[in-house]
Amino acid sequence: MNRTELAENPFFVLEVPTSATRMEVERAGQKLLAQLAIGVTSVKRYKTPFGEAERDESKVRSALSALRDPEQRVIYELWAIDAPDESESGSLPAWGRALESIGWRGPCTD
Amino acid sequence: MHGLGLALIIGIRLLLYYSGKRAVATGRPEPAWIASMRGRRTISPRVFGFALRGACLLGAFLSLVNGRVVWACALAVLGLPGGVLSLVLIPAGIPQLAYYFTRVSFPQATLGETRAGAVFNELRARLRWGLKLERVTSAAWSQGLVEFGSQLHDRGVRGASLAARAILDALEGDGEHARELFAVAQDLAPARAARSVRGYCQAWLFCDAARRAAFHEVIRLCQRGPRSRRRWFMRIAAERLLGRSNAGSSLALKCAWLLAPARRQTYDLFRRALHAEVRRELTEPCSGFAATMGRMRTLMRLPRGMVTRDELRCVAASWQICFESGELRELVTMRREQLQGNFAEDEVVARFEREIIGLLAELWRDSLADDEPDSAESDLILAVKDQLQFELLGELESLCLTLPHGSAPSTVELEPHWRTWAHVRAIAQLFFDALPDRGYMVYEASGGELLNHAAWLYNKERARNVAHDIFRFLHRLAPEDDPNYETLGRNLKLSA
Repeated sequence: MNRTELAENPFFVLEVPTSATRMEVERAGQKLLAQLAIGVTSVKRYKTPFGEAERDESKVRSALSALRDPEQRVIYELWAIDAPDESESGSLPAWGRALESIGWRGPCTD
Repeated sequence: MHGLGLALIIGIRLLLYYSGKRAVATGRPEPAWIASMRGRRTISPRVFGFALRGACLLGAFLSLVNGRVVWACALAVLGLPGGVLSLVLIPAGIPQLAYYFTRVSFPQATLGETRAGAVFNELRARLRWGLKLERVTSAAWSQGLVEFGSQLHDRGVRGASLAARAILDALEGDGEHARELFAVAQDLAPARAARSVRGYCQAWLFCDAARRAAFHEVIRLCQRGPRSRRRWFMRIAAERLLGRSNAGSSLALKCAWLLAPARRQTYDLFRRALHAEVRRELTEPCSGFAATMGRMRTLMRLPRGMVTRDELRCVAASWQICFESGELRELVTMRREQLQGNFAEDEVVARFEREIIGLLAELWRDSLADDEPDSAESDLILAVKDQLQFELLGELESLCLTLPHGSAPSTVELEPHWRTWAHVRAIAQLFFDALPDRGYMVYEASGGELLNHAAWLYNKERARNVAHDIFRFLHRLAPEDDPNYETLGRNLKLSA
């Protein structure tokens, strides 16, 4: 388990609370799939406690599939329990002029 | 008279150059008189260089006294080639100038690194303004730019060769390999890499980590390599940016910045570090599953390397209480009934515990070590350390098992050996950084394979320099009561 996997928690992808019923989960998933199919831009990203992430149809489908299995759903519930609404990714700004400080003004494609 | 002396110097220089070039190009042994000088150690490139520069400076002084200003300037330039390079030619960035100046003004390099020093300086000059850089990065040209020795020996592969190859890797976008080679070059023995080269490698590693915002790596890098003013500044700046309570004061930061090189380029980093606030550590115990999960998320949202090991110990203790009190199991049982599932709750709890250990291991890997021994750690933290140990040592062991040794046939290429060794070192260094109290395990896990590999490199490949670096690395790791300790010491002297 890492940050990326945590950000792909089905409850975050579908934006439903951990207490949502199966019906609510299915409804939220189908609605998102329909919106993604017609290209609604506002649903292409979703908030997680670790910052915003990209949402696509495959993520929604696998989220729906995971939440249909009670065992997997319980695990995901544990990780998503009481998750805050804010979406801040904690990272320090990089030092943009770092390589300039050693006289490196050429390209660096890394 | 002066003309005759100059012609003599040029003649000797050309002879040395031709001899070395012929040996490499034809595969034939170098001239006996050069080989004998090296074999008997009657002359050392470094001593020869110092003597030559001293003579030039003396000549410059005498010329100045006699009123010959042009001669004085010319001899002063030859007497202080490093200064001319770093202050004039490299900043000027004019293609070819740094290369030919290095070749002319460092004749003693014929006995050491034949060409790499010149290539290294040329690359630095071209990177200054990007002039004719596209030619350097083209594969055909760069292949022949840095030679990793011939079938005869690897005497030409030292710090500058590795640094030049690492620069080319970085320019080609291969940052991972560039980092590994720079790290090896930075830590080479002083006799095998000039301080200026090691300093450049260290500076590149600092900058690379800082431009990825990996300031915890900057702090780790500050714990090794040559001591420099840049290192002092970077350490204080990185510690302050990570909000560490034991970071240097504002006054120390200002002093370090004033003394460090490239103040204009480091000004924005200095300003950020100056205004950074000390972060309050989250070491209060939290009770209950929800509070512990909340704390875990808070720690995970912090920038990489900002989480301290005390915070991880605290959250691990809270998780342990959750697991041992049965709170988690009750929660899972309740949800199983509500969802009408038929899974075993113990398996779910065990899987969740493994995931928690995995996450803590990820955070532990990026946190800065505080040298707490295993005996003082909780069971969960020990499991975290075991997982990290398993991952890193597993990778190291499997890599070392593939290293040629014993009667393995000799290869033609020496570059792969350096690259493999750089990768081994990188994994080992990651292990030392993450688990310093278990550092001895690196020797236990792979010391024998590395020793055999280094002996094979020395005997079969005549790769004396890479073998020496491996012996040196192992000699520092091996406990004195180890049966191989004396062998390592002997091999270290032999390969020096």
